[in-house]
Amino acid sequence: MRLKISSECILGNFARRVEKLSGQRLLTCYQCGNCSASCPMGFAMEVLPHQIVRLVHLGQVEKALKANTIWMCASCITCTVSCPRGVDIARILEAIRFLVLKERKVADIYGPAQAPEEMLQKAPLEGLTGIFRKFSV
Amino acid sequence: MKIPYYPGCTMVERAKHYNASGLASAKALGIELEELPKWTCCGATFPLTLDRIAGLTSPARVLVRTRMEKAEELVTLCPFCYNTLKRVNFALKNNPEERRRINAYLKDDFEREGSTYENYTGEEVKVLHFLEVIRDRIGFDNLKDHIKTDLKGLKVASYYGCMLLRPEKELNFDDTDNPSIMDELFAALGCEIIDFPHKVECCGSYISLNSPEAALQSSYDIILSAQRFGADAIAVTCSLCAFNLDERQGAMMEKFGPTPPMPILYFSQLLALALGVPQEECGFQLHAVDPRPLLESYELITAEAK
Ligand code: SF4
Ligand code: SF4
Ligand code: SF4
Ligand code: SF4
Repeated sequence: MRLKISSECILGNFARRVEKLSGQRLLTCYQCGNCSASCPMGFAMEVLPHQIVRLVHLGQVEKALKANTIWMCASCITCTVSCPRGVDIARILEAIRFLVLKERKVADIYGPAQAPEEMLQKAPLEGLTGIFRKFSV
Repeated sequence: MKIPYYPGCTMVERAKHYNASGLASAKALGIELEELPKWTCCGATFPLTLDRIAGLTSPARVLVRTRMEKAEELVTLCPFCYNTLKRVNFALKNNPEERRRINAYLKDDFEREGSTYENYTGEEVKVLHFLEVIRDRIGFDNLKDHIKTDLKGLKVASYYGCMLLRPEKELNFDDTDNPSIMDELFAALGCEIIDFPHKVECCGSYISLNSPEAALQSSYDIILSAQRFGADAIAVTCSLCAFNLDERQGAMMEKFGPTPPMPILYFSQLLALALGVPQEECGFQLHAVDPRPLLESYELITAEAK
């Protein structure tokens, strides 16, 4: 991946807000990739979780948000418990989702109107609540 | 032994057989799980960003309600409820500002209802999963005194999923990488324990509701792995796991080709069966993959009473 980086874009506004919302420092991550290796949804992600952390840190927000990563994340906390640096990466991904939703940067909100009838009829309620809350702020 | 019980909405709606078999098991063990009066939804997911006070308030309300009942403990079956309630206790205990704001809000709320409000600090009510109650109050070794039907070497793979285990430092439920609580339970009931590498892998959780194809892969890996290690059935603690592994098995066959059906049971259904709860009360008929042929082949249930 080719990135254009300048001193202005590193740890920019978006990255700072992610840090504040998640309570995590992005630079604590040393890019070992343990989180991504352990992620059960990694196979379905266009960009891996640890790469999202670096992209946001480097100010490459568009690239980070274009990927399906944050929407594929199941908040299963496997990444967080695998991180040797103690980074709560599940919180970082949630903070990014939160900012994206708050600024309405996403077109495909998922709510009861979008869910197939079969899911609404059969899925357990914690699943429905979980997925709808993931798409709301 | 009487302990307040928080069912959560799934238990009274779509996982009635989990609820019924759990309550029946408790009763057979001499534990009275008493439904918390006026309980409200816990919100299902713990908010992971730091400024979402509303997301913390609904689970906190449940804990405050428990305390009003003069109770110091609250038992759950649903791992989502367990995770959310327990993490909120941790957050309240460790974050004074959140604690202040949430208490201010709830005080208002409860006083309007006519109750006297006492500040809640995150330490007054201990959240327990029913499995912990069995392990710590009854003891797996003592279960034999209660067992009516030995489970005759039924090969059970215990699938733990995520919400009971992670994050370990907040939940402190069992070893995150290699949990054993369900295996110990089933060993005590006379099952053959099938250890398999996918027991703590996420099944796809609620991603199955909006990206079914992706989640299907995660769920299928779990079933295949249990099959390879020789399991007759997979035991679960979570109704979302049950949905992904049981209800979605038909879709797996369509996508990945036919495999032998893998029955998915709540741990409480097998426990109830062992404790002599009548099979009609265990809800074995409520599964997408019918577990009855398997249980009949082990002569654990009889065919007539279907
Ligand atoms: S495991 Fe931790 S340190 Fe390693 S890449 Fe992931 S977040 Fe960074
Ligand atoms: S929380 Fe999200 S990113 Fe982390 S392991 Fe689970 S699915 Fe992957
Ligand atoms: S977590 Fe679920 S099952 Fe538990 S109360 Fe809340 S929404 Fe309901
Ligand atoms: S659905 Fe299963 S894998 Fe997912 S949270 Fe429940 S326990 Fe975890």
